Amino acid sequence: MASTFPLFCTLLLLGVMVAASYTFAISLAAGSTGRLRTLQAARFGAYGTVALIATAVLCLAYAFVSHDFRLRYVAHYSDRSMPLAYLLTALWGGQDGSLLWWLFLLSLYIGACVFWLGKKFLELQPYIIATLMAVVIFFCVLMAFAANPFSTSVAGGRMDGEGLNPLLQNYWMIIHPPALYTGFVGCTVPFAFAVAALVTGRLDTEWIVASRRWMLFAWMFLGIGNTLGMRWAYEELGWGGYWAWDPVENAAFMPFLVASAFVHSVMIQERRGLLKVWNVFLVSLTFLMTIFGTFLTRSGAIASVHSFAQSSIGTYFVWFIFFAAAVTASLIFYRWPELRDLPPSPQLRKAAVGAGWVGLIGGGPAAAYISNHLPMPIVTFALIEGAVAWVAIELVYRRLTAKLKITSAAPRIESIWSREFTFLLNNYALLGFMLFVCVATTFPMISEAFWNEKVTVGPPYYNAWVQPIGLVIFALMGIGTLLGWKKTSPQLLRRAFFWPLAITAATIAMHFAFGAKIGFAPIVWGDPIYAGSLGQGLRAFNAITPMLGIALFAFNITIVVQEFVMLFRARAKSGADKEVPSILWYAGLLPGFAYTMVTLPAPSRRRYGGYIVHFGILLMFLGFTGKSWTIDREASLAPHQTMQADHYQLEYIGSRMEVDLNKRMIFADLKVTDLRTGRSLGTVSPAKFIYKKQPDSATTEVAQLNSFRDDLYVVVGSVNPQTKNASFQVHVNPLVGWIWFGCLILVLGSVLCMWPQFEPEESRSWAFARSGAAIAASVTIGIVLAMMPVPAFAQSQMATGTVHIRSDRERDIFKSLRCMCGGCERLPLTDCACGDFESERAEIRRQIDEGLSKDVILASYVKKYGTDGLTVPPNTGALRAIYLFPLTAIVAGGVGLGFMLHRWRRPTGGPTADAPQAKRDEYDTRLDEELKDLDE
Amino acid sequence: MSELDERARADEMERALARTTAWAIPAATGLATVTVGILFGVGPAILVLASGAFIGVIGFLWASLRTLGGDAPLPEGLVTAGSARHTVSGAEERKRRTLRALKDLEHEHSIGKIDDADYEMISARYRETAKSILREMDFQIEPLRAKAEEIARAHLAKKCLDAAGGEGHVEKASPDAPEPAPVASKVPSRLACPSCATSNEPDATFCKKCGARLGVESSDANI
Repeated sequence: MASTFPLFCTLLLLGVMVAASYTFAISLAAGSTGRLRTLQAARFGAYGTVALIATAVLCLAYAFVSHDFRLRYVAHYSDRSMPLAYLLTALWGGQDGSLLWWLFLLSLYIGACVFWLGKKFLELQPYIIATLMAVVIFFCVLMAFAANPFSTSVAGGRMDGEGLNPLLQNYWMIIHPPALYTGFVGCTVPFAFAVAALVTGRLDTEWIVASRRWMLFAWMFLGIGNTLGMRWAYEELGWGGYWAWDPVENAAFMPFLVASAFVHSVMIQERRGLLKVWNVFLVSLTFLMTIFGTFLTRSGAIASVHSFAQSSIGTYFVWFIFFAAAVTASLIFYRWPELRDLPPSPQLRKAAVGAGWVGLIGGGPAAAYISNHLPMPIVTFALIEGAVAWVAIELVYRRLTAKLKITSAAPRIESIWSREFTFLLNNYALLGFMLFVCVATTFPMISEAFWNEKVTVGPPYYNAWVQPIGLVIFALMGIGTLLGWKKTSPQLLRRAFFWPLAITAATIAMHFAFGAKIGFAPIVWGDPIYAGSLGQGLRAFNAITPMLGIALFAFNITIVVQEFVMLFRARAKSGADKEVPSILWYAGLLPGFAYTMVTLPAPSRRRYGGYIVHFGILLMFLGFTGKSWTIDREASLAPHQTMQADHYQLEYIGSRMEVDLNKRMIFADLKVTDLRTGRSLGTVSPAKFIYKKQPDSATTEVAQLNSFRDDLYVVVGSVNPQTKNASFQVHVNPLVGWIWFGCLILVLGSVLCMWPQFEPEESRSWAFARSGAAIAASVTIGIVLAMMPVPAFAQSQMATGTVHIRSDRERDIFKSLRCMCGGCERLPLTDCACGDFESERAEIRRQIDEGLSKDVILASYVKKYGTDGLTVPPNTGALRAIYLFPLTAIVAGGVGLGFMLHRWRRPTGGPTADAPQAKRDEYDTRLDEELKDLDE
Repeated sequence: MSELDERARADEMERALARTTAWAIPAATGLATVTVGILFGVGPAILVLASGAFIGVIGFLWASLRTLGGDAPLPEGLVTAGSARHTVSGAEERKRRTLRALKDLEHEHSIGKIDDADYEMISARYRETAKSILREMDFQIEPLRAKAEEIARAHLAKKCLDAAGGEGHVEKASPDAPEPAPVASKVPSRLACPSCATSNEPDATFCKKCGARLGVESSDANI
């Protein structure tokens, strides 16, 4: 049975399933009986499952290193010539292996979580372990039946394998997926805490405080992973951009948005006790989105640069998402009385579960219709169904509580001009944004199911619509910081807003005065994505976004700096700054600053860590704003000819060729001079690499010159071997470097938020060392995971390279049309460099030369290839749903929000409105002591 | 008695064994991996590592089953932690929430986001709320306190110790029981530590912060 190594390894996988099921069963038993002995047994079971998964992964590693080509997976992704590092890299190169990698990461999280839980949160522990084991079982079932990395090929072992796509053998591709996975998988732990809270009924802030660091850690890695993805696209794909609104990119971005909303809305629950239902819903949604994202990446449901061959794996995911959503929904309905601060009578419970399910099923017919055709756009419907269920239950409850005269003990909010309100707005904006992206991502599936129309949603659509929403969020970030938790008086508001508004006004004025001269014009007109008034309206707004972006950047940065100034001023006044050894200040400002931050009490540390994270984000926003001023130039140069791009002059020196073990490298050297100063900036050498194993798809190696102001980004298209003439594409990308730097600041801020707590009795230095070690260990482990060779799983032909564009008009038309060559997916004609489609491009160029209008050219393209040949869904008929639906939902959400606020407002003129006598009694001492001890 | 001692000794040995294997197996595996890696190459080294992990699996699952069956001792401190479990009460949660709000308020006042008049007014309101919650919690716990004192007195009486002066020297009923409200005039006031001046409970023997011995009033201080 286990006579061969592959069979043994498959048995290991089944063993994981057995161990996880055992642990699942006894942890449920521990939960229901409350026996500590059973809980301890469950903990050991969890550790055992983790160790078994590690064994399975190590066995796969051994298979790769020993070139065991009996395994289909090993044969497909490696060969005998690959060096050791890439052999280990290939471990996760394909679908099956990447699922095992997911399971491995999950097991690391489970091990860390169970260890960390220790003797804490004994009531929640059993159900946390049970939930985590359930997810493990899902992935085991998936691997055992649909994607077994240990399966053998029918033909038996080969002599040599196929080898790894050379495109994947580069640095950024190695670190981007594991960082992202660390974020994805990490969202499972807070979900487990939420489920445990729901099952045990301990629905106050206990589970939130417990899972806080886990959520922050996962969120941080989602941010890092997304940024690394941007970096990879920027460095490797060669089209000069970093984000294409690819469905898989969106699938990684949406959990980030939802997780960001969550870390803010929990603060409202901690201080006000509101939004309990919303928080459990949000954390469940985050988890479901990570599963959904994995599903999108692997099932081939939506075509993208990341896609794989179609497989049946999608069905498993859909069923799991359904099941998880159903269980979570039932738990939330069951606990509805506690979540709404009503007395938990059985009658109320039954009413909630009944009304909730009736609501879900009543809203389901549309869902059922679509599920007949395609995998569902689960998340959109999660939001709709959630809203329907909520309305159903609340209506029933209104009648019940009125009849039974039960009043809710729910608290109230202070006022509109308070931080709670801005956090609510933050959630509203982030979720609205996510809904928009989600609908656009899944729209091809929706439109095909509903209206039998194939469409493509390309970058121009997103870029046009996302800017308004993004800027609103950016503005809220600053406004929320300025408002306090309590009602802020008008004078204080004025004082708080003075400097930010003043500096913003000055910035706008200076921008208009000097912007165009330094190449950062405040108003930049682009091309409309629709004809007609909507298109013009969007175009007008997009024109002023550069100015708005810079203005909001000034606004936000003033606010953040102001907060820190206030902190340091207060510390100077109270003498608290004496605690920082002054030597740290003399050794450059940073150590002193870091020490101050780290030694703040925990709630303040989290607050200022949050401000640092905001600072990082606004630097990234600055980088995004820079995109408005991108300059693209193309030229074909003979040796010693020069070309100019913005303030750079490039002189083509010559080309050379180098050869190594697996590729030929053709370099083109250019000397760069800065025209403003006349200074030489050195040489750039863009290249083309032609791999021996894949001679048809040469890869583009970009050459860059980076500075604070902009990146000079040079790509070589082709080099004529006889004349040495070379075609170049040069981009000047302003402010891009700030994106990467901003991400670094974001990481530092997150680390500060997660900083462990000192015990006051311990000696300072020992506590510091211990907590420093803890942080260093966790960040190192995180980075090691990120650096571990893990390429993505797309072995498809990804053509990198350049497209020759002759004029801006041509660029505009090419951007609106999608390449239908069938090899690349969804890329507009400006970016897809596959050679197969050149004839079509030539045809379009001919049409442009003939003087045909854009609409005619687009119409003829559509006639040939269908509506999905356009990068933006046409603004006609039912296809308008792509923006109408989310906008309607957003407006409806706004109305709902207003309604909720009205219900939550504290009735004015109550007995608490006047100032009571400040008489100190014995309770005051106790209160002061408890305040001192409070560290959450 | 000796059976209990034997049992306790066996448990201690088992715990010691568990602690040792917890670091010994990973250490041995690591050492073996490195040795085999140097001698035979990466592949066999990975196999050794996998074997180590597998031994870990067997160990953990065996521990789990033994714990379930009742043969293995529980880790120290788990039972104590378990007895400290409590259901979350609404009042406790409301108190924490008010405290968080107060702390936020203090911070914003200290950095100047709220001026003094506003701070006094809002802070007084929150303090009033917190105090009323504390009073409510004390009120709820009072009958239980009385019951706990009864049980403790009965226990002491059974042990033939003089519990006559026991009022005010009785141990606290539960970890988070509040101090006695000053309803009776003969309840002694809090003790100040001679070394560090921390305010301690009236029936404390040692200072809770620095551990110095406090002056005890009656000579029959017990427990």
